[in-house]
Amino acid sequence: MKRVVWFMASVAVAALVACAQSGASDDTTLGDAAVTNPDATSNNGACVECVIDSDCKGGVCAQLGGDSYCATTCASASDCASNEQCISVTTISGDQASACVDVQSSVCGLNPTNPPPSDDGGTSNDCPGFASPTTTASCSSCKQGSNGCQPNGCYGGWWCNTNTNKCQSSAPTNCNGSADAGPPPTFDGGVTSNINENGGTESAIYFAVVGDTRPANEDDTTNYPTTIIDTIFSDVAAVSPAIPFVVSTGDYQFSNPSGSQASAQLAKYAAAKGNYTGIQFPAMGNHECTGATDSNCGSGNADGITNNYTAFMTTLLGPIGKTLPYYSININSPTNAWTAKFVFVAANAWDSAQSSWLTSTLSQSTTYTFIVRHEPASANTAPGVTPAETIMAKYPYTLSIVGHSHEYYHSSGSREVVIGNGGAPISTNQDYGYAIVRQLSNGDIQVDMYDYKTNAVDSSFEFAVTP
Amino acid sequence: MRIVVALARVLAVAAVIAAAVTATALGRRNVHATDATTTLHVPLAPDPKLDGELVEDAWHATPVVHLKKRDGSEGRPYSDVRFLRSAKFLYVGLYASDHDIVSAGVAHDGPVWLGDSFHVVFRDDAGEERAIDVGIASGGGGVVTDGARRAGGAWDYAWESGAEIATDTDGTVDHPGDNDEEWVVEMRVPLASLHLADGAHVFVRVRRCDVAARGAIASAPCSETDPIELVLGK
Repeated sequence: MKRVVWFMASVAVAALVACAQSGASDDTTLGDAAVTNPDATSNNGACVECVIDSDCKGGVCAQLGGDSYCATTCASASDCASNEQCISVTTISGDQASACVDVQSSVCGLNPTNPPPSDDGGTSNDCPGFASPTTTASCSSCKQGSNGCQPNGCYGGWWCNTNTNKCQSSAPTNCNGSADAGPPPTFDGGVTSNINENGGTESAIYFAVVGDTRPANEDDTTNYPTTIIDTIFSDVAAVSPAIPFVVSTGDYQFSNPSGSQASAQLAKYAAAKGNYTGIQFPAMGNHECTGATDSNCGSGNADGITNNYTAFMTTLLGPIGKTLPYYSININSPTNAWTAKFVFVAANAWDSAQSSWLTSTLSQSTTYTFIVRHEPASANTAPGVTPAETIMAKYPYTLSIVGHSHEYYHSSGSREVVIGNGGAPISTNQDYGYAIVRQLSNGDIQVDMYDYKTNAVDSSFEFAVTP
Repeated sequence: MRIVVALARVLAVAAVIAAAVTATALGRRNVHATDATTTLHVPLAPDPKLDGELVEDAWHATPVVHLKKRDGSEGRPYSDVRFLRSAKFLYVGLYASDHDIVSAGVAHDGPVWLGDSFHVVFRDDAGEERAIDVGIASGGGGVVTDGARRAGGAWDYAWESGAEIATDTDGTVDHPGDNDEEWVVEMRVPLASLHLADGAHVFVRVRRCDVAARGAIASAPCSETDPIELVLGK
């Protein structure tokens, strides 16, 4: 019995020690040098990160090596180690101080020197949101007029982030003259199309996908992600050749289902996507019902006709003449070389009629079948997810395009792709953007994701599926 | 009897270690009044309903502060914070986008940072720091760990903030793989416990870490606000 007690005790202590170790690791992540190195009175050859002078216990937190590190203050070189020099540094709070610095250190040595601004006869501040060393800005890492202090309030060639008024060692690497830095993608060969709200023809399958564009909090129309949506649709509009249509994966709002903000938010959405003049085919999300993933709207369903549902039907489906939240369109080759159907499933307006419709629609043979729905298969509390997946399993389809998760994701070998990074709060370490789906010369369908700011393609994501 | 004594000894040792661990973990969350970069004037507003839903007009009208990565870019996953005040309370609204909500599985004044959590640290001009850490509880709802200290000193967990919280989770807690969306904390703290009065100011910093599994702090992406100077309007 005694051994049992001591064993239990050992486990308890081990668990607590593990907790302590976890905490220490977190400190490292967070860069709080006062905890990771409590003896950081000097860097002593080590590069100790810091966020404020008090992290350095008698030293200063200095802007070094493109970051901030502890340095021991000095009056002369004799105060420093043999490998260090006593030089003037700028502290993280913007003051000048004399401190010991190993100027040869590749980590916490002198700040990296940026190339001089290009002398192109124009402004050198060619990166919106950032002020170059020669541009007047409000950073305050150094005092204007002090030795080496640049007009932007930084020193050492650093740039000023005008949003945060903090200095950084360089402009963003993706900055080449525009906030929307990269050119929109261009694909070889033209695409001709004749597509209206009921479908049409296209010389090659070619469309964009945007998903999940709601604000973070209910009825927070003030903070609707207008800027992001506007940027995304401007990007899509600029792609060459022109993208004939966009499909969207739902959640265009976060509104109280019995409140008054649904129409206001969808009006913002419609305005924000105004730069794109092609056709949009939207899928319905759970926020077009009550907001709950397990909600079920529509006449005769548990949640009935909510204001969110009505606004969706009116603002987004009305312009393309759809009277039900589920529908399909056919887009075919003008030469009948291939056929494609796009099937929009409303898992939050599920009923027997939609079930029958889905069975009937999927049973119609086409070369390609794209199913667009809000929730992925794993979000099976949505009323129509599991029933739809059951029906889908009986018929071939090319790709199931979903959202709901505020990310983009595709698992190798899967026919489901999540595209939910259209402006709703990102839930992963990704960024907002849009996908382009296109038919390759061998008939496969390629999917690429593009960043909304840079238009850069995420090469780690791209994939192709055979029909 | 010897077994009881042995168990008591072990528990005593464990308690000491737990206290040290907790102190260490809270101790890392320094807030430095000297590097404040954002000033928010928090106007007097009616008390919102404490329900985890930031739906009152006052919540929509107050500035939203995004948590950031250390390089200044927007934090991932996305998180934000907003503040309100009423006659007696400071309200803090915390939003966390979260693909997989994880609880710490601890009680009040336990290490809530072993799960998904926010860390809200107030610092006054006298150097007193008051930390309120908020996490999601296993069965939904929230859990608070609060402590106070003189800057650089040990945390005193006897200090009780009096914070009350309501949470709203869109997703399932401790159920990976089913695509959670977010969680929200609506917290109210008595102004008196923060020694705040009309016209007073306090510095606050908010940090959030998103753990992939309980205790997986080392690999958790964290983001935080710049120091915020809250000025209480009348």
